[in-house]
Amino acid sequence: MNFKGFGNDPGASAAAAGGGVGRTTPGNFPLVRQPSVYSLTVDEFMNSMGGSGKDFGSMNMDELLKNIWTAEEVQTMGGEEAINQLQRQGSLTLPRTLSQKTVDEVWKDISKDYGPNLAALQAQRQPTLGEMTLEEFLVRAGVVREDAKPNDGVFLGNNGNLGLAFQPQQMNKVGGFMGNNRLNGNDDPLVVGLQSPTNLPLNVNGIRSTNQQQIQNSQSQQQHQNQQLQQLQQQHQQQQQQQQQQQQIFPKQPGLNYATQMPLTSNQGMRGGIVGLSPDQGMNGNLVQGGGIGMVGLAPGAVQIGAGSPANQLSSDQMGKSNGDTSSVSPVPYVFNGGMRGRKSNGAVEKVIERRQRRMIKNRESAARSRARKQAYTMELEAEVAKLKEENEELQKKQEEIMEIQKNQVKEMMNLQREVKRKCLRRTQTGPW
Amino acid sequence: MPINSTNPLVVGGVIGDVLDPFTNSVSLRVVYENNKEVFNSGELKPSQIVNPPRVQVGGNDFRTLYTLVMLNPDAPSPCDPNMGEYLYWMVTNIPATTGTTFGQEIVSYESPRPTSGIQRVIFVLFKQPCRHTILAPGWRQNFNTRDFAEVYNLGLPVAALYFNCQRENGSGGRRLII
Repeated sequence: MNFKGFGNDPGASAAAAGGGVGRTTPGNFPLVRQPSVYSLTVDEFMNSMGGSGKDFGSMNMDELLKNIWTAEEVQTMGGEEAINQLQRQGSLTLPRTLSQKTVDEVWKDISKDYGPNLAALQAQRQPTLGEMTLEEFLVRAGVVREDAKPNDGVFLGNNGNLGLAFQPQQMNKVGGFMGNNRLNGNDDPLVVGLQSPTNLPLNVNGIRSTNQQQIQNSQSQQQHQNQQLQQLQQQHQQQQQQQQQQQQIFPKQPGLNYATQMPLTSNQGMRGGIVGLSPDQGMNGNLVQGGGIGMVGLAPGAVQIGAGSPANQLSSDQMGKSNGDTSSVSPVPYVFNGGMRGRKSNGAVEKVIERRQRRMIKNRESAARSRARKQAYTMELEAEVAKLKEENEELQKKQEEIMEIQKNQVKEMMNLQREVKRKCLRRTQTGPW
Repeated sequence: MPINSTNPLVVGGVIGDVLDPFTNSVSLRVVYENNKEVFNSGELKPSQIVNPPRVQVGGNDFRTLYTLVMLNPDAPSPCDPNMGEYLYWMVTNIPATTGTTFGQEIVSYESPRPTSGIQRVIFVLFKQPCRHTILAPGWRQNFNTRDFAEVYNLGLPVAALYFNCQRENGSGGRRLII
């Protein structure tokens, strides 16, 4: 069993990993003290997933990862909460492009890369997909992705950090460590994993070497993973020498860093480590992400999804800073313009700039006052109009009333007059004389 | 704050720079010669306001006395009002329903003559709690309406009016000294 080997005997596990060819043990999946799922060969893993083994070749990468998560959870949590935790923790996320690929496709890509890159690698490398450990598969996938599609590669590169642990020579070790990591949460499995050989595909290693800075950044956002990250950093430092070779990779990677922003932001489920690392454009060229991610992946319980957003914010902050402090104060652009015009003498230019700024501010205030004035005038007019209209209405009503009254009065007067006349003129009877 | 924002006094900054928010409870009409009535944020030229205006105070009880203050918060220039409020006119003990002619002129009327920018000229009406003998401030500038009201226990204003005033020929164009 690969994983058993990892946990107990690094030396033996190396052989075990190398010799994965003959070792598919389908039923051995659930392990009491077991290291990570990643140390399983792909075949084993697939088999353990209950019959999905046959189809895994055409399985989507997304599904693959989900299965991996589930498996992780099953291992650590006894399976009951696996699903819940899976939902909570997006341990590994794939770039969009990658996730849509099937395992087969990824494997093909890996195989392509496998030959040339692994020329120097030991024979322990597992040529078949089924025999490859999950970790390695992911690494390869990540590596390959980086080469083929820089945009996605970084992200996978992070996953590849898991792979880091699984560097060709020490894959078993890493697996063991990872497993331990999860179980104990304290050891330096990552440390060991980081010590993996530098022969790994370029990107992975390159990623690793730059981990330190980015790891630090993301650490502040990740509580549980801090320890691991720190350990990782230490290991990185120790392995600087080995990683000289991979420095050459860096030129490629900066682009990756930027690229990773996309997948990171798009995947809410990403672990903090992953997220935190990639956005750090200020730390360009740092594929630390890989390291961080690796760590994250190792410790499912330590999911810090929240770190993703802070990390992103961090990057945006960095970008903001790098863009210069352009607050709403407009004089700033003036400053730049002035500075760019060449300096007659420092003092003179600054004075000119300052004057311009002052004038601009004054103009602004004046404009604001003008607007306020205009608006106040308009409001006053409107109020006046409303008032006058009201008055008008009232006055008209009053007038009508008065008219009415007048009319009535006239009528009454006339009536009275008529009545008086009648009384005066009427005779009812003539006297009998 | 829908109501406040439709009050010209607020929008024009009178309530804020000079006065605290208050409720208009007494009518106030100020009319300069040639029937030039003062409307909020209206415009009057210095030539039109040389002589003191006719002021019509509302209310209904002769025994209620009011104090009228005329000031300019934007002196000497709106962008740099370092002279505080400049006092043009102060009349106290004005009986309700009458005008300034029935009150006591503490600070004689001075015709506003802004030199720089467009400046506001504000009329503020206070209700006196009793008949006062208000002392004239030693100088016209650096007047503070809020403090003044507090010292003489006038409380919040009961009415306010303001207009804009600028140089006779306008404030546009560049001048040597700002």
